[in-house]
Amino acid sequence: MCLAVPAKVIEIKDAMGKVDISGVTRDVSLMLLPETQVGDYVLVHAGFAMQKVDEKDAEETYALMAEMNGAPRTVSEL
Amino acid sequence: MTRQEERELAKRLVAEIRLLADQADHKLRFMEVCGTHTVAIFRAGIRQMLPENVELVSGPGCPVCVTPDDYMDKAIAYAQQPDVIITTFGDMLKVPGSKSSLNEAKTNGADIRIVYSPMDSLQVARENPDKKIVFLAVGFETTAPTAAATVLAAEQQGITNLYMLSAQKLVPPVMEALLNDEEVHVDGFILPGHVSVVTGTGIYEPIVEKYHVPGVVTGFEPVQILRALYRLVKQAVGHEARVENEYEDVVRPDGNPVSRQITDTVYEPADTNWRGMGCVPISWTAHERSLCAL
Repeated sequence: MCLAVPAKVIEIKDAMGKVDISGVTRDVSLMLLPETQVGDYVLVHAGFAMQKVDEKDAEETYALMAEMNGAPRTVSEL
Repeated sequence: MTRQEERELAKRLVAEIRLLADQADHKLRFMEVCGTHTVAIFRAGIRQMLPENVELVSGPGCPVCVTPDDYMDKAIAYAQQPDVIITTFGDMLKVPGSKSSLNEAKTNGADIRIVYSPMDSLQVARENPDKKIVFLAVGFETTAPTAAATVLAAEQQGITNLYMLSAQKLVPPVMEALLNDEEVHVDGFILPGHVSVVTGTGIYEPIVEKYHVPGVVTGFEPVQILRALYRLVKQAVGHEARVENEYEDVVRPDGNPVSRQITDTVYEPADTNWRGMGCVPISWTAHERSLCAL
């Protein structure tokens, strides 16, 4: 419930946006972040864009997610 | 940051934490308020890396765990009504009520649907006009605006068969309740990341000042958590108490004002029950007030 991931906004229609999360497309509500524009990276929580994210930060998160490949990471293996 | 750089930074932070903690005149105990931090700390093995005089304790910040029996009993009772469809986040299914769980009700035929977003309830409501759709609105400041926005969207779309069974909680009041508890000694807080996206960092200032206990907002990566710990140890040994922010990418001082405004339109603050904590003054429930004294 509490996880939030960065996503790139690829389309906006009314208060809804289509976002791309590492290649997966999803509809999110923009009601809580009405100033969102196409091309922005946003933090998504429970189907809502919650905050703008810097593009560089978002890409670092993706790289990390790809590297982790779903496996839990311990500090000793960083 | 490459993985190699991250590894070096983590090692350096642990070494710095050790050096600083040597100056402490008592065992330092920090609490991570948020349950997602607890999981991240466990996965990264951070507890085992800390010096003996630095201890981490888990706080009350898991909305699923703090949802009390009576709420679950109510949710189960609604689920058993033939004209009700429950929509909920998946993690609520196993939470025990006093006699059973939603999972058990589902096995016995109750219509319980797992949703990814509260907004998904709107579609369920549209497709089932003869049913009452009850969304289980639990969570903290991050989730409250998503439930509130769903209520407003339902209103805009003329949907009249959607209901919220609300057990939203607020983080600052429970921090204060812990600090007022004589059995709990905390030298600082790792403050929640995604709650702070909504609230901003300012919301913690009064508590940090009143109780002279430092707090650091941070993200969920091992290095971010270690950075927060480094800052907490530094403040604690220097007898300082400030709110610091290690998650500046997404946590702004003012948070997300639109989210808070939408939440305030639908919810009003009230005392509420927490599993394991009892009644905590001033958490939110929708359009009702239940006072601890009652």
